[in-house]
Amino acid sequence: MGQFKTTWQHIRRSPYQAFAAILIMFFTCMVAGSFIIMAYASDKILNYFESKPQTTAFLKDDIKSEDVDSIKNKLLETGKAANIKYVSKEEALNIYREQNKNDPLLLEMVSSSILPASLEISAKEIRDLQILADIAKKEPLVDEVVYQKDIVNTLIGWTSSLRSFGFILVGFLVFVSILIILMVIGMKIAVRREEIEILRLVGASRWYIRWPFILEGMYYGFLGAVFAWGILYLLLIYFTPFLSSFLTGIPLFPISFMLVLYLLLTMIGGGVLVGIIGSFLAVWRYLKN
Amino acid sequence: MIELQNVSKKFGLNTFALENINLKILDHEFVFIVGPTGSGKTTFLKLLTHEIVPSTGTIVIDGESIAKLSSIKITKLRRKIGVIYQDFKLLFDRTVFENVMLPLEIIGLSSKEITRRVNYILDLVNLARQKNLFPSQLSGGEMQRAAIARAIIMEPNFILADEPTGNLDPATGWDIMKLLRDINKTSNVTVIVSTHNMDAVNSLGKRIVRLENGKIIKDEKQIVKRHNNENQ
Repeated sequence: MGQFKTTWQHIRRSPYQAFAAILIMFFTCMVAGSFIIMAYASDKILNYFESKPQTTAFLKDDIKSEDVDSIKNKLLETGKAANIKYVSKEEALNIYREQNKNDPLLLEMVSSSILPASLEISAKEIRDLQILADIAKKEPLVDEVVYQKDIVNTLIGWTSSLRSFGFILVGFLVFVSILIILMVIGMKIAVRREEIEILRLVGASRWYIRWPFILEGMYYGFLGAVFAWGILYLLLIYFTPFLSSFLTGIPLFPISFMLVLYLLLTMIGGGVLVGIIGSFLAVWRYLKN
Repeated sequence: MIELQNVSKKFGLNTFALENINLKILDHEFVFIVGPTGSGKTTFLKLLTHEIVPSTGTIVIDGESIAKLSSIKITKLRRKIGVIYQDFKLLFDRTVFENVMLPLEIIGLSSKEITRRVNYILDLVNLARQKNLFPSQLSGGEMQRAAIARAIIMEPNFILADEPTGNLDPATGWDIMKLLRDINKTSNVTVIVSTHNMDAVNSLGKRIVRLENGKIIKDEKQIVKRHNNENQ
């Protein structure tokens, strides 16, 4: 009977303890996996906003093309602007028409003369947006600067809070999982004390006795991770239509197969590691000799 | 060969389980360790299997001192010794066959070789028909024969039996003693038996080491057999 068979026998003979260990590992992996997905998605959303022209400087009607160039140059000289696009009155009208094509009433009322020309400015780094907006504001031929500072700042705030909260929660759950695996394996060692004694006396080495317990912890971590990944994947597939319509324009969906595979490997790696730590502590504590 | 030189084992400050033991047991010998409860018989056997270590003195087994052994060497030492207990120490969730194969499984023998050797040994101890039974389905004598089979499966140099007949009726106990004697005779293995069963001790006419209060008070080769009711 190999070590794997012995491990399987240990699990089969105390199914409730095994169930408890797999359940806590499942829960931990599920929460960790959810936060990995959320962190990935929030990164993508933030990148999307960072690459968008976040600041629009509306120009006065009497501005000449050399004045536009001069403002553009001033912004480019800072080295902080990624892209500056001039939108003429006619282009603004086209955009307006496109956005309101289903509402003829709104289209009738507007002509290119009432829409201002503008400069759409995007920054290389989102934090430099304020500096670019301030430069644009100082220009006398700039009528108004619309700055999406609040949206972006809120997004950054949310992302960093999400990450901190995720780290703390996952850290706490990992700690609880290690303790539970330590307890489950510790109990099994105590129950099998006589068997362990017999094994020692018939010439079993330390690691021959220890391995099945370490493998058992790994097994719990592996099963918990795989189940959690399966459920997460199903949830992701189920919610994809809703999320992709909610996050229109953000290149997040469909989530690539490779990413899902990486997630599985990460979760299995993490789960197995937690299982090893828990079972190793139990073996170290209760099977010293 | 087993040699103990000035071996003492102290539990606590002044309680001697064994005191100043000097003893030499030659290869292929059959030795009884006798004495009342608490005389140090079990301590003596536990010292040989390195379950405990002596407080003072040296124990040499097959030319090697076992005072300070690494865990790997302890494992190797135990593979040279087959141990038999009063309470059999069988695994109750494994069949007779699985219990007997345990030492072979530990050293990683192929299942074909394990089957061959276990079947041979079970025939030897007359347990072939019970090989698929669990210990709870066996009589006391059958359980002890299963334990003996497990002890000899590795072809050890030594067999240590701690009160092997303690839980058995006299007739079954006598069968077990005869089995140990036969193993000693046919396999040339050194057998050390601690026992209270003076009938068996006197009948077999082997060397007797008598312990009292942790000390050897007599070491003699008994020639005269008081009982001749055995089938030799």
